[in-house]
Amino acid sequence: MQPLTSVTLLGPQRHQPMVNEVLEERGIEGRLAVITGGWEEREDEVDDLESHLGRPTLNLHLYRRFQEVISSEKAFSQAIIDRNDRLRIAQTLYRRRLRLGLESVRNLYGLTLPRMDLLIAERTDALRAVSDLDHHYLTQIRGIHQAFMDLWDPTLNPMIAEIRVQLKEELEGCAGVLIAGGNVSVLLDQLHLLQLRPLLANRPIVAWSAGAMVITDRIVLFHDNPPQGRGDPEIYDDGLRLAPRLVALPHAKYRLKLTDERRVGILAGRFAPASCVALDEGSGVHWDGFHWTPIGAARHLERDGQVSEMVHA
Amino acid sequence: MAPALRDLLAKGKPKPDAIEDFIGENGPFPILDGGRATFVFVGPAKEVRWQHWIFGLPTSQEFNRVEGTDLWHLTVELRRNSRIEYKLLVDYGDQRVLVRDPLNPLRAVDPYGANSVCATTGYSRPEWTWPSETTRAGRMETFTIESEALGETKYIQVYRPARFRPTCRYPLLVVHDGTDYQRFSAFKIVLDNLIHRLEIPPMIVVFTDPGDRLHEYAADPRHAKHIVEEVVPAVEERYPLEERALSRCIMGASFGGVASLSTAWRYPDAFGKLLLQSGSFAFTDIGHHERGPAFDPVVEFMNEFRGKPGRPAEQIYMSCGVYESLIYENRSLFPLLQDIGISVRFEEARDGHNWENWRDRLRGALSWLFPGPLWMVYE
Repeated sequence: MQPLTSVTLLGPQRHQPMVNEVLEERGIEGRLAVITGGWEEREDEVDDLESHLGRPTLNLHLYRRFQEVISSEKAFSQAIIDRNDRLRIAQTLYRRRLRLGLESVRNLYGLTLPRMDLLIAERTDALRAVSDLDHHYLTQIRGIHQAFMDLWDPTLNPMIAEIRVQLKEELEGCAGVLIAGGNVSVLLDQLHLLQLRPLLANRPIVAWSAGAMVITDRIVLFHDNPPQGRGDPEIYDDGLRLAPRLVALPHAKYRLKLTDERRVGILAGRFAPASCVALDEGSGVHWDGFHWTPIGAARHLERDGQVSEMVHA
Repeated sequence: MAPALRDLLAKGKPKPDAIEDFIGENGPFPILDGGRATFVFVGPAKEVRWQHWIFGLPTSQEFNRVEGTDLWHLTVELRRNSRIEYKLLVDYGDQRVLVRDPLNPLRAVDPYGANSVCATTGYSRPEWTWPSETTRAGRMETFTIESEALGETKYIQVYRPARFRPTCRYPLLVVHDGTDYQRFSAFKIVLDNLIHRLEIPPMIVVFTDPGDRLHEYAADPRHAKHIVEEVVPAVEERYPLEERALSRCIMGASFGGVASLSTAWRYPDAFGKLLLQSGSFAFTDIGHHERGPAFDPVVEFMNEFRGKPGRPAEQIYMSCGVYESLIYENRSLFPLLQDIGISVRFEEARDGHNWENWRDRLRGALSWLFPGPLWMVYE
């Protein structure tokens, strides 16, 4: 079921913050709940954000609350460690297969032949194989998550249940929710294990960077020029599914080789029909429950390797 | 020879104003032309020589004079992605002087002065070695230690990363020749940039300097004692450090590489990681070495180490320039370390025994030894 709420995804906010502008445009007034759990130990350092907003915020302290659960619920904490070990093994296996799959795709995209129709058919099939592998991996990790939930349903944990009651009350007093960037894995874990999705659905959300990534359908990790390794974009996990049919790529200008048509085309084709959107500073996208509309110079990656400005629906 | 010079000479003996025009139109020098570099000098010399430190090539090569003029030139073949430091040895008859190339503005500064630099096609100074306005900068702090091991006062500089939190624990990196690494290899800028880009985690970096370098760094056990029993505990008292050895690294270049290996070998549980750049790992299998008396204790240590390597660390990054004489010793050490089960990475660069070579390898080295949260953090 699609959420009825409005969701705005933005690029990085450090140098060119635009959250306030978005809030004004959306008519979101009043108190704002803030999730800065991706900042980990720096979760409380919201001075710059509040100074930009010109109003105090209500920090949901997901990181601190989650750490409290982990330190007092030893068996639950151990179960998370075991789950993470299984996830890591699945990720290692996925990466092995992904490397070979993408090598084959890149090889075919680098060729030109007199009979391009035959080559295009092979490219399409090789890319489909990589997409299939992405789906397979998601299925694998969903199974691992489900096995964990079957034994350790967080909603049945008294400490988490109490936190959720508190969070529900806190959220009810707020006009909207801001989700900042940071460590996408840490942030996602807090949101999943504290079962935040039902509490966030139907509320106006403005999220940026990792915050934007975690509320989409699928989280894709990416960096085209890492100091080690080949920089193969990879699926990380399911997101909260509050922002549909879109892959959020914050810092794309810095992290992706956007002038490399082959890489851009492969990335866009691999995750189609979802749209790969570059969320750079000063840009964003808004979901009104039916359509995505661009904010600023939001761009999306196209299957022909181009990066184009998004147009209003 | 570069086509522009060939065209000039094809017209016969060039007059001084034609030479001046040629210099003005074709500088800076050398002219890079595919795999060749053409060096040019203008002046009333008796002889001009290209003086470099490329191992395996004649140490100096003679320029050709264009008969009846003050124009001198030399064309050499150089590989892509190479970086060569050189000077010109100019004989004016009454004096011979070693000078930087007056027609080449590129310089590499080191503790002994500066050299001219010829960077061939494909090489450019990595952008992560330049200061960046958007990068959050770490802070340098200092303290002194009265070293009993060495019998002198030691001045210690500590890099504290941006957004340092006393409640967090940090990896530790100990750097030999710390002041030189900062001055000539832009180490602080590199740390700021790599941490800001999440390519390495925030870390505490301790910059140490030698007293009598050639003795202290030549595998002197007192130096190892100073680092492990004096410097590290003093840093532990002042900064929150991760405790396990795998979060601790010691590094150095040239003799600093020897000092690092020697320290880790003498205290095998102190550092889990080593970063060794152009280590002066001279050894002998037969007969005596010919590197001079400063190397005597190094050779003695390396011979002992090669016989009983133990397990000085779990992970070692080594690099060496292919244009330096130490390439043989470094290549020899690599399989020995592999054989004892250490995770080793060895990188060769088309460069020499100099600080810019060591600077250019820092990203690959540090991000391999200390991978940052690059893939997970989107701020």
